[in-house]
Amino acid sequence: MKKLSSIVSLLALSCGAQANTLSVSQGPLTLSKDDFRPITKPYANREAVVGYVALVDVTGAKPSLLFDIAGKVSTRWFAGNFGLTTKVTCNGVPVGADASYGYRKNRSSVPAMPNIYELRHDMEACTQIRIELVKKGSLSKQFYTRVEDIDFTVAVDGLSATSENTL
Amino acid sequence: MNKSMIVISATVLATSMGSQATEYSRTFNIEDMTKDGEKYSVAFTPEFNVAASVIVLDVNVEGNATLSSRQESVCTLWEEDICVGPVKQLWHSEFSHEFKYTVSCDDKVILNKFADQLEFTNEKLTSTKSKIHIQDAFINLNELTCETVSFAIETLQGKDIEQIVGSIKFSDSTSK
Repeated sequence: MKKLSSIVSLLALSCGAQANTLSVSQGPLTLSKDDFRPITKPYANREAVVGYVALVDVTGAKPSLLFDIAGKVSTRWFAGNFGLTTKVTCNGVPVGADASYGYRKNRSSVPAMPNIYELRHDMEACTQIRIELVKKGSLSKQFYTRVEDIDFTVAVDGLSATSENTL
Repeated sequence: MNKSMIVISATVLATSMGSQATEYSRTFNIEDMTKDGEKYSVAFTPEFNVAASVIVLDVNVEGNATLSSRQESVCTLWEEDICVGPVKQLWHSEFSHEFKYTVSCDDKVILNKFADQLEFTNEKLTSTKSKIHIQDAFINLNELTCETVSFAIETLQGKDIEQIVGSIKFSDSTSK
């Protein structure tokens, strides 16, 4: 019995480490900072986190897909003024890009709010969304822009009509 | 006219003058602006001091973006940071025009924001024409007193600006 519970625990752990899966037209998926892998570069004998990447598996793709991806990225208070470029692809096919900015306003930090809402055609082979966040600016600026939280919602809806069909 | 009527009249006049002094609005276009490299700026010197906490900006900018539209070799499947899928030639179009704009009260920058038009698509794009509408309202917690107000905009990424038409209003109220 003890052995069985260990196997169940291991299975649970392994499920948690798996990539997130999103079914087309089945509602949004939420991603947190733990779902993003840091992109690092060497900087002054340390590793600078210059951005983050998340992978989302997609099932049930249609030829035309509506991508609705919205996020909130906040930094430590001392790094409140920052820029962020967000790029989304699906199996290498470009989906959309966004430039957003966090800033200090009246002594508080306003997070960057990336938003990508795009209809793309020829997407029937879409099985893996890649969301890439890259901090804007020099390597030193990227190093000091310490990200505290990342929250994203990702939704994909399938359209039965394509660009070739009449409306 | 008795003494109390004189006092009331003077108060109404002061309030009315005060109301005029707390709102300042101007329209401008690219011909009114000074060009320094990729930066366009315009300064206004009102005949009175502008004391305001609400700044409303409405600007239309037209120009040319940088455009890259071509087949690119891309990885089609990832496992963490390792490419595990076939590398394919796929069409990538990237269109980018990014601006920084500021509003200053005398020498103090009181608004520093960004605007952009970005496209990242598998469609074949050919036009570099960009069109951006900036609508911004900013409220200062501390009242400002300016002798000169200025607006500046510059291209951070993209080719150039061809047209700017806008308005700026300084006021002490968020009501229209």
